[in-house]
Amino acid sequence: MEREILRVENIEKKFDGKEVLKNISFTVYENDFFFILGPSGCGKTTFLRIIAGFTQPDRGRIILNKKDITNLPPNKRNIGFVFQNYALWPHMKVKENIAYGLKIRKYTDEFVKRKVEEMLEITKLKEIKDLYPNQISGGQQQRVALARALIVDPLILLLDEPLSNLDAKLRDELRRELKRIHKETEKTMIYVTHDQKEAMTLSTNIAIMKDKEIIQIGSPYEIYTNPKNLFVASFIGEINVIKGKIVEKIKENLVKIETDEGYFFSDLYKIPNSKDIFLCFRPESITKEERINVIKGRLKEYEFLGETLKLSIITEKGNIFKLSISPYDFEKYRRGENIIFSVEKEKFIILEE
Amino acid sequence: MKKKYFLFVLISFFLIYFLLYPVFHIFIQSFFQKGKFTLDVFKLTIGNYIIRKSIINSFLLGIIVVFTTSIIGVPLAFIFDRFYFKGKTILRILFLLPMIASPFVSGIGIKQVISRFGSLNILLLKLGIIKNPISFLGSGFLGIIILQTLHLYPIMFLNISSSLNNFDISTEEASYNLGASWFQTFLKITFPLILPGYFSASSIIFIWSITDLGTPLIFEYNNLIAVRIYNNIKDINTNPTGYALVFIVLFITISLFIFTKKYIEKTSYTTGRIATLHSEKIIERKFLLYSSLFLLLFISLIPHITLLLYSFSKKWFFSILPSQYTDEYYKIVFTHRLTKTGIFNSLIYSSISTTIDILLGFFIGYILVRWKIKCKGLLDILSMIPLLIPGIVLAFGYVGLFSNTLLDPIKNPVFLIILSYSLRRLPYIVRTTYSSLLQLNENLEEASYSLGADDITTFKRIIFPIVSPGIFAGGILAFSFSLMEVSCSLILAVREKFYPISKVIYILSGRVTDGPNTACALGVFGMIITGICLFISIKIFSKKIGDFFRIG
Amino acid sequence: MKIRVFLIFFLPLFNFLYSEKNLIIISPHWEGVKIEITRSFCEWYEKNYKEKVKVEWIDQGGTSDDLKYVESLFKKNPNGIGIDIFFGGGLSPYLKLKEEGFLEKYKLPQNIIKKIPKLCGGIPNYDNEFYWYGVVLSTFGILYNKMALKFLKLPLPKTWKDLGEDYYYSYLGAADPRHSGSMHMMYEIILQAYGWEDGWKTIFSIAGNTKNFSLSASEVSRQTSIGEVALSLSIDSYALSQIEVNGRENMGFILPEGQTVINPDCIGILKGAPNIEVAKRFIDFLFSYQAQLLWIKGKGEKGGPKEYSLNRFPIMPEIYDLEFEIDANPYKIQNTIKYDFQLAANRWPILDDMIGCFIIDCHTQLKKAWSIILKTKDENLKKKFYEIPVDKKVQRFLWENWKDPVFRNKYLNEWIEFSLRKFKNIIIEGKYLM
Repeated sequence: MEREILRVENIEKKFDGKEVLKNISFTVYENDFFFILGPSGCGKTTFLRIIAGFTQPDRGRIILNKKDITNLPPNKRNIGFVFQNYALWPHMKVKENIAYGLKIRKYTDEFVKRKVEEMLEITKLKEIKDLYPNQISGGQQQRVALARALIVDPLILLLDEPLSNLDAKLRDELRRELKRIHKETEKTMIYVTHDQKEAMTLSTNIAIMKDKEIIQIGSPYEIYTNPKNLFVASFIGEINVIKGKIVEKIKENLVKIETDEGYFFSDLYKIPNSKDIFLCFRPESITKEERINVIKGRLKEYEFLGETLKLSIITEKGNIFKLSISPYDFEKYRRGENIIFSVEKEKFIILEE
Repeated sequence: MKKKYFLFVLISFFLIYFLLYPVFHIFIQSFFQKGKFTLDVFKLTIGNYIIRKSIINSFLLGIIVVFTTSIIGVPLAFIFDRFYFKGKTILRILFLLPMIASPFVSGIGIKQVISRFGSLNILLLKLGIIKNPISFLGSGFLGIIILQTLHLYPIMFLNISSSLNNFDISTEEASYNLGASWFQTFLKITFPLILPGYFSASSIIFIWSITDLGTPLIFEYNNLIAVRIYNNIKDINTNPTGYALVFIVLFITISLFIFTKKYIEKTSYTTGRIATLHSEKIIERKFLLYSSLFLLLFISLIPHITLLLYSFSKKWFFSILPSQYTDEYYKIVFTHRLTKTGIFNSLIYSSISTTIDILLGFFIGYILVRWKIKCKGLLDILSMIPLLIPGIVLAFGYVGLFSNTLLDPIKNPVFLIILSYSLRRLPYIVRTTYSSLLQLNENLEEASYSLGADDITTFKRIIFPIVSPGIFAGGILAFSFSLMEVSCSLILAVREKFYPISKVIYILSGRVTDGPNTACALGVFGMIITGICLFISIKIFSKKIGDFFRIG
Repeated sequence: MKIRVFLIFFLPLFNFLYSEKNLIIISPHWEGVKIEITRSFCEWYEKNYKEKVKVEWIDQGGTSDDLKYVESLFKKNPNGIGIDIFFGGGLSPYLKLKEEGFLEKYKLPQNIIKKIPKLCGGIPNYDNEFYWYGVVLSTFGILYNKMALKFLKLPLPKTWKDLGEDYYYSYLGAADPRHSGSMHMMYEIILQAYGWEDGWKTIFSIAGNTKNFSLSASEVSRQTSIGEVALSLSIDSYALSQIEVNGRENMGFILPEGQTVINPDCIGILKGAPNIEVAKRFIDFLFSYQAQLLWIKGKGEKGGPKEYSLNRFPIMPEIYDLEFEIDANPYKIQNTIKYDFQLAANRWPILDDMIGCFIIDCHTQLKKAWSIILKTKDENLKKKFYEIPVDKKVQRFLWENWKDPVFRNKYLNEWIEFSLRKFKNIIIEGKYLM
């Protein structure tokens, strides 16, 4: 069993009477790369700041390593924090920035020096250690911020959208770097982002936040394959949605659904409260034409991404569906002017309205 | 949290006790006698012809000086804003030079030049331009006007310059475009838009002028409120009219301040500061421009030049320039008991008061920006109050309030002098800190906390090093202002061993023989230090130096 | 955060940075006197008492300012004001201080008292009850700028009255008696020399010619030397200093014939003096031969002051047995007037206020009226110009009640209004005449 390292219970926060966090609870286990994913403005940064202790929650508890730290000042928590804007101190050199936390802890100069060298090694910052923050690139700044937070060996490391200020190429590079560092240091990390791609590639667990609340927590696979609602489904990856109505229960776990594209058959394990539902499927969950669950449409746009081909088709009813297929399979789906495909009944995701 | 409130209450109490309480005391003394409200003191004060005359004279002086500084400062600002010419940057700094010596100091030398058989008259007589010497000094009133004008017009210049800097020139162009003439445009567009800046500068100059104690004392001109108040210090216990006069001054400053502030709020049309780049015209009549600028500069530096000359003159009798020179006065400055004491004291007072300024001002600024506690607004108001209290009022209040206590200025004024120096400059430091902290990202501090640093370490290692250059510049200015501060120094320092430089200068200037020369040498010394300080802070602050001479 | 709290509480401690015991003297004497006397006294003290002493000087401006200051302090602290000695400012302040009981008695050793003549020119040199002692003698006269007079082709005045001659118009310097004790002395001398009526006429004429009234006597003497005015009322010491600086060829000083007064410049211990022993020793010192010599010797001379010549006449006659550059012995000045020092002391405050109200506070109008009179030469106007609302006989009544602020203010307002009205009428009538 994994060891629990951080548990938050019923955190609530208001700013000037306006609620920003509502009843947030979850647990993070040792070695996790825990993601909090949500659109901007959903309160995730505030939440991270509450864990770090920069902001006080109105209600709720934070338990770190079996200790209640809710009322502890930030400097007593031993939680690392990497800021979105890095917050490097402009008046200190790179190595001084990194050494700061150790110096605060009054380690010997020799020890500090050794640790800093080590950290410079891990983060590959050796050549720039004597430069000032304004003399180095964004990616380097990012790594300095990371090194600075990691060097004091915090119980957990919080990262607030650490890659958002970088350009796409650098972001990819640093994402890999982060993964490596996570592996090497075996640090528990909590990472806040609005970029689902980052979350999917790096995380061990993801909490999806929307409007002050956590909607779903789970591994990337769980969340992708079994989203709790339409928001989660559309936030993580792409999804096609058809409005429908359950008209008939064929047998155990199989229903017939009526939509304006016709009737569909889908597995269903939990009977929804309402008959009106959204019938969803991922772009890649399709096969070539079968007997049931067939959709026919004209090709509207396509996007060739190398390993996949993304198609956008429009049906006679005017619905647009996104499909993702192997480029070699393109001909399989093609029948004259039209693209015809079907969705396997196991691969439908049925969500309530 | 409790600690924070404790500190907050402590600082607020400190400011209330040393700022508001003296003012309250003045109010009580001028309106209450034996516990009863009465207007007797005012009747007595206003009933006195010569005091009435002094009040009128002070008003007159203020208005005239505002007028004269406008005449010089406004066109100057326009020339610098609208035209391009070589050496503009240097000239701009040179035009700040007149501020480095207060007229109190330069007045000692100027008498030698404009007296009836002084340099100017002798020159004119020799040239045959006049037959009989002219009395430029008059009763001394004219001398005060001239010196205050030459000292204060840079303030007008700075304020109008910054107004013009924030001024969108396309508004003028739009006016021309619609067929307005230059004059119409100036009257209808330009003038109303720079009016708030002009108004603020005028208020400062007016208040400065009527509360200036040093200059009238040097010219021995008695009939001004400031001098009346100063003279009243001696019999503060037997004659309450001083309180009433101080109250009047306070009333004028506060109303002017509130009025200005309201007016500026009402008329600040600009929604945001749009730094518009407008093309500076290249001026054609270069000779005219340069010669008039240099003439103006020369005239405004005459007091300083005279000061320098006088400090080196061994004999200056009935001649245009001294007939014999010597450097003995400078030797005296650094060897004479009184001057040595003065320099030592002033350095001590100013450095301690500047340190307090920086620490307290910084701390208050920090509380205002960072702490999330209730009633923060109180501290904000308290820290800006010194702007409303002229030095002469504060010092008078202190003498009235603390005589016969542990802090009695007669026994030992050190604490009160240091306090008055630092309180007077506190708003500027608070403001500087406030704005630089606003620009400082809070994350920088949080990063430090998250690494385990406590408040003090974070403050010492992170916040202070980052915002200190700006505050350092402010501190340097505060230091130089304190070094040559006049009103509080003259009033609070009664015993010789506590004299700061300005009091020493005043005492020396009244000495019969070599006193004025030594005073001038000491003045030159002060001028050089002030000049250096001003230069350093200009380097750091660049154009923002004007903030130090603005209201609101 | 703690550092700052600490600082706030720590600050008052700076006060003690400077604390120490010493002799505290309030005095209108100029810097040079303070420096030379301090230096000499400290040496003398160390030699005689084998310990060090420090002298501290307080100054509030002129004699009247110092006097006001002391009185104001005594009002709040009747038992002592933390100041040991009042030094300088002539004779009259001491009569007043003694009368109010602000002085401490101290009898000099008999052998020293024996050496001081009881009187000089009819004025006592020390208090017969030993509350105050004259230290030096002052004479009062006219300082003039030779170059300026030559340029303006003006004659030298011989008497006080000459100063009222029209050709001196606006070239005369004088100061406000409400601040300067020596200036006050000269107005008093003029009043006593010419009598009440003629005295006032002279004072008014002088005021008409005065360019403007300065606050201090020293400023007047300097204005004379820089040529702002050509001649001025002056105490001997200031005049002699200016002569010393600018040269005998440029400046001169005269005593009006038969109209001068020799006045002791005194010292007295203040009631409740905190360092009374040192204060007594200070007075002992001032009457030592060494100290007395200091006043008259030139700077740098043997036994003389080191940095500043003091140019004062010592009170001990034995000093004049030596020969000096300044060949004057106040004890030999014959043509002095009969000076009623008690009257002078009594009416000191009302004379100040009279000159203040009649002349100085309305000097702008006075000058204008005077210039019109000089132009029209109208005798009637002149007569009017000299009018004052106070009769000689009511003087006593006035000075007896002068301490009552209501009484005093009533008169001040009456007087100033009278004067303003008077000058206004003259100006209007004069314009009509022209």
